[in-house]
Amino acid sequence: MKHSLVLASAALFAIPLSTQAQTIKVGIIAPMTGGSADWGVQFQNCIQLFQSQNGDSVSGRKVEVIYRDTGGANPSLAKKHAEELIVNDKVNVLGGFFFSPNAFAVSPVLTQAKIPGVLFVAATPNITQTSPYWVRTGYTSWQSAVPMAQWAYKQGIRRVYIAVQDFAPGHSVQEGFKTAFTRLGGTILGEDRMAMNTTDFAPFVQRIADAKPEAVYMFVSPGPSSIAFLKSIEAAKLKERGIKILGVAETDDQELESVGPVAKGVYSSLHYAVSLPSEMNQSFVKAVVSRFPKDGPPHAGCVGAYDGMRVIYKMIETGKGTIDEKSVEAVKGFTWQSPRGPVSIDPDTRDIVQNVYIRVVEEGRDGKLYNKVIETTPAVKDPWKEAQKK
Amino acid sequence: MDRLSSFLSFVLIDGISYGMVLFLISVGLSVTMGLMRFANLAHGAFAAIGGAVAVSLMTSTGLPFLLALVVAFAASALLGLLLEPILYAPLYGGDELDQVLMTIGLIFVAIASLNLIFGSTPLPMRLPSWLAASVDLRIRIVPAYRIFLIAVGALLMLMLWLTLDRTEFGARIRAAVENPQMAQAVGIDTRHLFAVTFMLGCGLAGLGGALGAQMLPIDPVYPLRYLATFLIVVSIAGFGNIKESAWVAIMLGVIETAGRYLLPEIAAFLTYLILIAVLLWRPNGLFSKPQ
Repeated sequence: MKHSLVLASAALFAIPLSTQAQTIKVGIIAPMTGGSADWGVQFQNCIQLFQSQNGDSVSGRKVEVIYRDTGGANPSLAKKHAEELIVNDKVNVLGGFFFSPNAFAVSPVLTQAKIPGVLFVAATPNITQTSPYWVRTGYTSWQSAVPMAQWAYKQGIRRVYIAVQDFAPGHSVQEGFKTAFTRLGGTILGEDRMAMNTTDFAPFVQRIADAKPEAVYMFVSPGPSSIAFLKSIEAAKLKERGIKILGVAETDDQELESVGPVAKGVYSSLHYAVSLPSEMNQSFVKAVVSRFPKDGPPHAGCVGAYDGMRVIYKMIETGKGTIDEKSVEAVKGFTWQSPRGPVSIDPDTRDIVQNVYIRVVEEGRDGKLYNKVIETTPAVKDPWKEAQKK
Repeated sequence: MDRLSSFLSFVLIDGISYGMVLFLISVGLSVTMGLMRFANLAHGAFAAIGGAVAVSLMTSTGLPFLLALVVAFAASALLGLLLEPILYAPLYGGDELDQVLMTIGLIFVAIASLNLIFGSTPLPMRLPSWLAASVDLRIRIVPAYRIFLIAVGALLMLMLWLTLDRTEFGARIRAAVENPQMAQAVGIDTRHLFAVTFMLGCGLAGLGGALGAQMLPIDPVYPLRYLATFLIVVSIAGFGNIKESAWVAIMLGVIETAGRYLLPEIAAFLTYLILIAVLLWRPNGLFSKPQ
């Protein structure tokens, strides 16, 4: 009796060990709860979609995905999750990351453990420089800001007022836009950093109106603040005065229902749009909406996760069933077709090289607002790193 | 001169209307905190819930805005009526820390509930056309909504003052606050009075949430996000000084509006600097009678 019990327990221990050799584990660190939970949900949904379309095995190895919740911008928690995922859960690769501070905190862990990390969204440009194990499938803040400056100049706009929220992402796009726009020959009439605790944006909108710019370049984190800001702009009738509103993600498709009609006519610069007409994107959007009807259309989070899995699968393929420290090298220069268009991993910077789209919010044939793509800047490398070289 | 009149008209109209929003969302707290001496930090939850019910009904059933305001008041008042005997009454006159802990816990329950029922994104809020329109005041073109806020705020101030200073009900409340035992002794049912007052405070919170929803969008985190804001108004005015809290709210609205317009970077601190200065000078609020 005792003998067979020992044998049975030994067998129990044996099973996980043998499956472990066969399973590639992916650790996703993301906000699954809290104010940014919809990003974590999109990561999860679109990873599931990718695996349902591409199988959950690569090169004979099963790919298992583990999720850890950061709840928000919580660098120490993100670092703890990374360490536990690597040491306890024995993950082969980390992915996810919506908040840049969380990604920065994980950089030393990646380097020490020699584990690749895939950035789905976190947009601060120099994250990929803080560890040679980062690969980015999201975007950088300058990849959005610089094409917008170039497009504005092309439209004949020469005088812009900048109004951004007073935190790192705001400062980043402010710098990116200003650098590109002034280099082209444009003038920045004024720059305001609006405190995070601003409730009434009317004073800032009044400052913009007083300066009489041809356009205002804004960055406000999507949510109650961006809604209040856009409503203030509407109340002050800036658009009627001929001032173009240029933004980043305030009027992205998933925000349009909350924002409402004041979003109409607002321009934005981003690496994805639901309305992209390619067959691949349209079937992608249909698949996401039909599989996850409660969670809205895909956005940058979904595409970042979907392509992130693409890169992870490529790592496993080229590693012939394993992921190790050579995996990052193996995906440098990797080129593939994404729902957002043709993309590749820059061999020098490990950032994603992708199209950037200028969109404007219009009323569709069904009467609902959507982002229409009006200009495409192809194959944009991270302009911030390009600017450092000069 | 033209620039000055333009600046003044902007600061006065936008500043006072913003101040009115601050007053409208904090007057309920002034009522409960002042008249019942209860630290109801979950006040924002009643504002959010009333606002959420009103705004979602407006969107889904096309309920007219003014009716939605009544619904917001009623919904929050009803919730207050239900929760008061269960959660609040046991802690009356008790340790303030207990009151704080309970109401903070209530905030988190409210946030989770709002998330569950309404989702995590801000509720779409569309003003009726008569409020979205602009009014030409010659020196300035002003959104009708802002004028509406000033008018409603003034009306509410008047109604509260009349109720408290000129009715028997108001007199009984003031008596119960001054000296609960004596009030009880002369036959005032303080228990019943507190329940009604709490209901009134919560109803006002819901009304404030719905009225301000255009400027302060309603999402699950609302109760926590604006907690500091209305605590500041109530603290500077002094608990229970309802008329004074209106003046304080207006003053803060005007100072913040002018500050953010003239000195955007410093303006963020301005409200807090004022708060610190006032509380150092008069810890019980600007208008409190010396204890």
